[in-house]
Amino acid sequence: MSELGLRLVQAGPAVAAERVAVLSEALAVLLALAETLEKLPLEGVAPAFGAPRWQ
Amino acid sequence: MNPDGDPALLTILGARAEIDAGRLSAVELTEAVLARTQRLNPTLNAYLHIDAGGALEQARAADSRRYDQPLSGIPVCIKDMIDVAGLPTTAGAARWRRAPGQDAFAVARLRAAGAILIGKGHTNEFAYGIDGQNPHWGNCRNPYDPARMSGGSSSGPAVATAAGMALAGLGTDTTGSIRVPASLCGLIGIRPTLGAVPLDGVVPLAWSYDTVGPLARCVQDAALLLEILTDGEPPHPDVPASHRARPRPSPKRPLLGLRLGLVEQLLAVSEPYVETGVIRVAAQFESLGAEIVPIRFELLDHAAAIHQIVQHAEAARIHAPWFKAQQSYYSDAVRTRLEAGGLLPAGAYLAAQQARQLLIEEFTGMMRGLDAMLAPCTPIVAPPHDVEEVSIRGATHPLRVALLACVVAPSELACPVIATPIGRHQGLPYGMQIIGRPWSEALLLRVAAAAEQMLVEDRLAGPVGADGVHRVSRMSEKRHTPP
Repeated sequence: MSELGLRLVQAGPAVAAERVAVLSEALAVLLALAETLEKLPLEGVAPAFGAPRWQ
Repeated sequence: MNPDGDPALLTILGARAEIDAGRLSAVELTEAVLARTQRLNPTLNAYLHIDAGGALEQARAADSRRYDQPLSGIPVCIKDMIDVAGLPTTAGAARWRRAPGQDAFAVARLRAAGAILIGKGHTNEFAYGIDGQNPHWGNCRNPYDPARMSGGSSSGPAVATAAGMALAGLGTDTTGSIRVPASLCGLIGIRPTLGAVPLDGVVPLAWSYDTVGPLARCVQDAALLLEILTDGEPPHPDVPASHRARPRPSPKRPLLGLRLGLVEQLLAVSEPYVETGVIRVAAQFESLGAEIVPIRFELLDHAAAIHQIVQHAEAARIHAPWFKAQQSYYSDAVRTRLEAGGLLPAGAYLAAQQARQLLIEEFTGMMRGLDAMLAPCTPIVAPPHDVEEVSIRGATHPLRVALLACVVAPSELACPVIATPIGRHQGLPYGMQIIGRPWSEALLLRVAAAAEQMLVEDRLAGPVGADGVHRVSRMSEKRHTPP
């Protein structure tokens, strides 16, 4: 089982065993996308919650 | 009356003119719309619930009150993500539903303005889709070709409006759910400034992006609906006057003084006929006084990643209260998105919102020296129902990725976007987005009206270059960079 799969199992009863493979793949895609964003200059940037700031 | 002689095909303003002149009553108009609905809904599946009795009762009341409101006697379709008192809200889901005792805020405004509520329109399951397909309630079908998709998730209001089963629709737009069906069904659709139309009584999908807006057959109808939905509120007080609509166009040059950016990257991801169509409009805008400048965003390619992470996480949180009990009733695709979203680390969500702020700052900077931006709305016309992939410029793309390609980035920005039809390919409509600063809807409507006038006058079939491509005649070769 992949590391992601293990994390899903550790997530507890909210994730049914037969869903682990499907979710592992879906989560891996999202985490890969998040990694691409981490390469942006995010330091010091306040998140844009709700209606963002416009100058 | 329209050439077909069917009042159900009138615009709102056209119908009101007939009503005000005493040539049409609200009951006659509602009966005409209900008759078309009875005939067409079994094929097009635009309505999940039809309230014929309630609609006729509202129409009789409108006739008795002598049309004292701007929408008196006008039949509309409400997306089934939005509460209508006395009708079930199903969100297009298999099991989830609620029975609202009062109208959503936006519906209450339409009702107070005299609108006749025909029923609840089709939607993708929980609005978490872009194609108008629904495994629980059947697919919505495109009125231009029922073998093709309507687009979604505001599929019902769009198809009802396009097919004469309502004169207008009320939809929601989180990632393009008003704009995509507007493009594929040949309608005007408005994603208003985030927060301009209150969301009370609307089933949420993602707080950072959810909006409610109108679908209409013409710009004037859309403008009237938006004015009612926003209660005619003036632009936000924090917006400088220079950012608002400038009411000094001349009839012959209605876009005089406007500087419009053409988003090159979104042209490049669209089929050539869409790119040509948008460039043709831009060329005509030049003849109406606008200056057109090409623009590129460095961070535009990150928009899809930002959006996926934020939407997955927020949707999972929204569905959490009932998800455990109902998970087996969801379609596999939506269930997987919600489960994966619930497992995303907080850091990923926060990074995505930080990146979103960077994208907004880039857009804000780009808008200095520009009045609005132009971009395709969908990169293709409506695809057939049974496809999971589509071809764009010879490359194969997943259907969902393709339909979202042009609408995701503007969804990040909290700004208003108008989708307006600009042409047809093989008989099927496609549209363009007009994107502006928050609270600049009036200016965007002026630009949309210019495009509409060209379409009416068939001026979009303008001069063609030797290579068959319409050119923007004087378009600046120098790309716009913020001052």
